[in-house]
Amino acid sequence: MKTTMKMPTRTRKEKERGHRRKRRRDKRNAFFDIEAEVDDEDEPEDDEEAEAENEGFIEQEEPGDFGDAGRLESDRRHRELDLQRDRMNHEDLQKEAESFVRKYGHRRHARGMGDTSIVPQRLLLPSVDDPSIWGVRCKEGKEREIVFSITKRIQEKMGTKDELGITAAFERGGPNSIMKGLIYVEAYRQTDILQALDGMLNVYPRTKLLLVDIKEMPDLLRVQKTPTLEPGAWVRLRRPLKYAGDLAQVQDITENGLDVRVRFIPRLDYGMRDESLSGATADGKRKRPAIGPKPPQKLFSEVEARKRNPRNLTGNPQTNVWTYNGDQFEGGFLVKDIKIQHLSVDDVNPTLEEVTRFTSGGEDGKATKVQADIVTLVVTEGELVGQTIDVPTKGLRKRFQLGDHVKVIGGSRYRDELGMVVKISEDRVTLLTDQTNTEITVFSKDLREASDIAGQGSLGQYSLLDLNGDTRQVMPSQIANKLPKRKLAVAADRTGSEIRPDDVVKEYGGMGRQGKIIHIHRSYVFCHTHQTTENAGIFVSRVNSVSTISAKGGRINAASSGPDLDSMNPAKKLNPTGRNDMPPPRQVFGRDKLVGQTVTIRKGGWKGLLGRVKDTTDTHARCQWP
Amino acid sequence: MADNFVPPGQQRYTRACMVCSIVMTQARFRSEGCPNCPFLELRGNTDALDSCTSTVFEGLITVANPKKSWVAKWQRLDTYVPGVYATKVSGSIPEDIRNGLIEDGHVLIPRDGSGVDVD
Repeated sequence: MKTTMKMPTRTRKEKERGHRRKRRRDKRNAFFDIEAEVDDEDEPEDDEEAEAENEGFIEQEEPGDFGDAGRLESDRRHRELDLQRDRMNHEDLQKEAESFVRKYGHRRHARGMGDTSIVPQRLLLPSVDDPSIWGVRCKEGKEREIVFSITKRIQEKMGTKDELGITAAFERGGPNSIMKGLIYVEAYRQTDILQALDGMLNVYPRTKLLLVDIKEMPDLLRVQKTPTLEPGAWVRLRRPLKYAGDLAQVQDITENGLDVRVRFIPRLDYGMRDESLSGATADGKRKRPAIGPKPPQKLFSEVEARKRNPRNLTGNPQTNVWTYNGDQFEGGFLVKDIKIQHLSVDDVNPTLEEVTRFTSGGEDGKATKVQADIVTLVVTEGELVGQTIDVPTKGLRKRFQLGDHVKVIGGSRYRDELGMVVKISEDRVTLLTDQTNTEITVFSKDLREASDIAGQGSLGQYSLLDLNGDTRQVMPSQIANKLPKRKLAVAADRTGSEIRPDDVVKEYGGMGRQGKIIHIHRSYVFCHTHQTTENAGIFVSRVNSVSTISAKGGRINAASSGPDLDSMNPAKKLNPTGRNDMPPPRQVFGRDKLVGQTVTIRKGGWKGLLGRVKDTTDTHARCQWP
Repeated sequence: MADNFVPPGQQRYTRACMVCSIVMTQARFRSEGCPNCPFLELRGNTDALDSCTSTVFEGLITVANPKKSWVAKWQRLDTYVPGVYATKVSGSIPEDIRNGLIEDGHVLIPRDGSGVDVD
């Protein structure tokens, strides 16, 4: 066939054309392979004409080409099969469509559950056709009120001739938000915003409106899921006010995640105050929040309660569960359902002392697999020994053995301290520090097994000589940062010679100590000497009271190398009394010129006498007068 | 048009629907139900009201024109009635109610900030 032989390189346009024709020449399709189908680079502009030509050509060729009738027959059967398959497919699709209609057909009744919900959000990104968003300054804390005020205005103007042009307005305020003090208004035109907010309280549209970039619009509406609480987690109470700031442990969370059952240490005084607080005052006004000092945290005492207020106490001594004044106490703890907004979940940071007052048990094991937040571990101790269990990391804590060498990490003031474990109680580990041989107690979560040992003079990443100005006891956690060694520090010694770190210098006067410079700070040099062990051989001296003994790397000092620092010092120039400024006495050779001159004596008993110099020394002249 | 305005004194009694995130007073939810989610049957049903609406929500949005507003489109509010909505509603619908809704062919958009990464 002509077409198959051509095998042209095809362009998109030709491909489309080919497809169009494919439909039309359905019958003959079976005889073409795809390449043949698209053909004809040199096809004439007039499609129809060319086609007519082609058709004729192929029609004629057909019988000749496929003279074999059996082959034609098998081809026909193949096509029949294809058709059948198509039909079946079609039926399936129809069935499926019907089932969809059955399933989702009634969705029209449920308004809002329409197709939009399935569209992924990335397809909803704003375009230039969408209205713009402007940020408008407002009074902090009034964001919600403003949104409602705008709602009111929208409703009032709805359907009137000055209907508001804005499409939406929103706020992202809140006590911890960085977007407070702003509300965002969506409109096509800026004037719509001015019209909508004009004269409204607490919002300032007359100040500069901040147009939000189209790319940043989705960020304005970003929400982050509040991490869900797990039983055992630590929270701090905001309400009741008496317990504000107290630590509590989550026991249970209601299904909707809004109420949390927590246990915490009660603050009871079993006295009159409890009673006066529990009921409304006589005039029915709302009771005021408790003023004055809170009662101290103390576990619930059945004895105390029975003594002071037996009528309000019910309970079971076996289980140690009591109800007192409407509150439930389990094992001495107050157990209460608190709304999640009355709890602070972030930055709880329970201290050792606080956690000590709560207790909990658990299983010991060795982690075998970690997948995201889930750790698979083989239990090595406890009730489930030998079993493999999956636990979220939140439910795990590290265990150490006595004698382990550990390092303190994370949020403790003992951070970076190294030591040996001497006592373990619950999750609190007492260790004997390498540095000071004192006992410190930290949470096991703040420890890790240490690979580095704090020997004499070096402590983890800090070696003792790193910097030691005035000698002072510091804890490793108080060392903010190791100062990088300043290689380029330079100073001048008492003779004006340049001194740098690693030079050997000697004190002039004083103790006459000699040492290698390890640090230069302003006009002080820190030197290390082997002559003494005091302060690990470190001494400090002023730069102008040391003289160079040897410079590192044989650097040549003073006059020959570089500029003379003394001559460049303006202070020395201004002071002509300096030792070096007096010109040396002139060397006189031969007969002094003064000899034979006539002179007048200016001072002393011979003052005023005129005479002739007979002889001179360096300081005296012998005179003679007639 | 329904009155979506809540005076400041009443704003502490507002709740947000966990399905459509509309914010209304508890009283109005009780007397009218949720205008976008009638299938929740919140009207006069205190239990359903407690479990399907939340008092913990943030980022109020007032939607004047759900059809034209991009904010509404982004929040998937464009087929809802004009009114006040929340960007984030904490809490989740009880499992059994949720399963029932999904079986009935309702598509639930998480309003508590979860599932954002999926998109």
